[in-house]
Amino acid sequence: MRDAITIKVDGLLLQGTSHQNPGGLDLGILFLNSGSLPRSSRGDLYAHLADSLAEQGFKCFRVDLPGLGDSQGEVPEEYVEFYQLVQEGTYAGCVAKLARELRRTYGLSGIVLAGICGGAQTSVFAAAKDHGAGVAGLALLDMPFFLYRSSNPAAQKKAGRSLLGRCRGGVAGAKAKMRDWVLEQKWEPLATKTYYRLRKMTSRTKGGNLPPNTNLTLLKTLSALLDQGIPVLMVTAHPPIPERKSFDYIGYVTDRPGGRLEHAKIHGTTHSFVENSGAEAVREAMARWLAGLSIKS
Amino acid sequence: MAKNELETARYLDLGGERVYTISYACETPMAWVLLCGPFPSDRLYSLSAWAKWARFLACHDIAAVRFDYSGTGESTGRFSDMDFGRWLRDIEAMSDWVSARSGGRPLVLHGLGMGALLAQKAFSAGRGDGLLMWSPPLHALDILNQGLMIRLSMDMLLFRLADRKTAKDYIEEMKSGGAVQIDGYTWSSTLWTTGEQLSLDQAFASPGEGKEEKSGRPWRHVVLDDGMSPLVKSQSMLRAMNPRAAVVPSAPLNRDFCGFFEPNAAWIRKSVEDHEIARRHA
Repeated sequence: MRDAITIKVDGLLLQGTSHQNPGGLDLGILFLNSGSLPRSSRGDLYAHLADSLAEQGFKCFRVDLPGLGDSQGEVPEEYVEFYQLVQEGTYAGCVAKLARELRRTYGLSGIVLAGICGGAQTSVFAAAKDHGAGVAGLALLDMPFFLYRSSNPAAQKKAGRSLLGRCRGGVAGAKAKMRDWVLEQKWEPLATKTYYRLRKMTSRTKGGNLPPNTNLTLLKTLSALLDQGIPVLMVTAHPPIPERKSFDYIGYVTDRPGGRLEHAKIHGTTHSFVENSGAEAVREAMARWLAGLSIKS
Repeated sequence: MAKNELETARYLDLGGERVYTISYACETPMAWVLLCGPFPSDRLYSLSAWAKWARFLACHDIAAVRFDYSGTGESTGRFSDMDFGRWLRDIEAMSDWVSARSGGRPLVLHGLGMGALLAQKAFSAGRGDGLLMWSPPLHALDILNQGLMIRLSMDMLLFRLADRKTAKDYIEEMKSGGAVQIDGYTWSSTLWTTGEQLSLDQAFASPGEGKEEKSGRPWRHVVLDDGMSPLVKSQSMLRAMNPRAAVVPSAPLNRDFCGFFEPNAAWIRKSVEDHEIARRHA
């Protein structure tokens, strides 16, 4: 049964939807906006997931964060600025307050934070922000571990607040100019081929070194949560035509004693999980993991 | 944008489904506006700008109500059971619901994209005292063909060349009673066939303003270009929403639309005043 909910956080009315069935468990699930999308997500994936998990007894909630969907508030003017706020954990405080409020109102013993992409990043930061929020687990769907940056050096300069940020912006701008110049040259295909060969060789010699654009804060925060024993489900999407091999961040965080991380790989779908029965596979993975979680808790 | 405490979300039981609505009320509304949203795939991009427009109206003494069509967004129902006929009935039921609560104040039907096309049909069937259309497609098939383009571009990511279908294959599939998955929604054959039969009436097809012949009720047709993103979908927005890697191209997420909202709200106010004068004379 879906119901409309309105919660006031920091003076803003946040609109949401609850999914509850009679006689359910006292474990809640809060879905967080996938990037800038409204709380139903692409193809209304979150709405259907929440319906399905509510049928299994979980109390599910989807709330638009400030400035997104139906909720009051403002988001930055540009997409990239918004992504940068998300990857820095700006929305963590708001989510922690939401989680507390939902636990109090619905008498929940704990709450699982779930989200795709930026929603997953916010889940991690919110779990670390406020231990009193009672985060019982994290369901992280295709979470990016790298840092988004602007293709426009001017915007980069505007976005960088600290001296370090401005320096990084300057370097990124120079690199972007260099890349554009190379792309215009006749010998570009040869240069690109050589570049990737060299990169492959250096990545072999460097072994497990993290890529330079890693979101270190996110990685460290997630690692700390795993060390604290917070159960984490990571779901990754693997398109049928494989993309270029990237760094194995999940292997990196799994490689630690005592962590309760489960990794579900969904093949044949894309980042939003709506293609090729991806939604059904996510539902199965989450239902299986949550069932184990509710028994243990 | 001013915040108010008069935003009320609720579910209404309409036609066997629970339809999600939000009312943006104000102290003494001079009129009510029913906001008929775009096609579900486009709702993703425009919703927060659409909600801002509703708040803008409420701050200018015009109450607004937005809702999600059955089987989409927050409303219940299976998308695969839905078609344009069903969504038109949603608009008609919602306009009756708003009219019953408007205390005799005029009701303006206002649609964006698909919502504008459907609102025109409800208006021509006698609902509402005015009609405001933002970028109505001339034919519902225009929207569906755009959706098919999304399917084809996803296929390029998902399938090798030899395994890919053409737009014609998908259309044939739907015409022969099959269903096609597009952007997370299951399109049924009735969605396609009702789309084939739905076009904007000739009298409303050109951008501009006018009055309906029989009743004299006012209407306005405005075309929104790519510069109005994120209220409408644009290529730059799609690239920013789906960046190929860590580098995100520039695209506006939160634009100041006050310069666009103002003349549209002024048109609603003027239409309402004319309506009041005509009513007093009658």
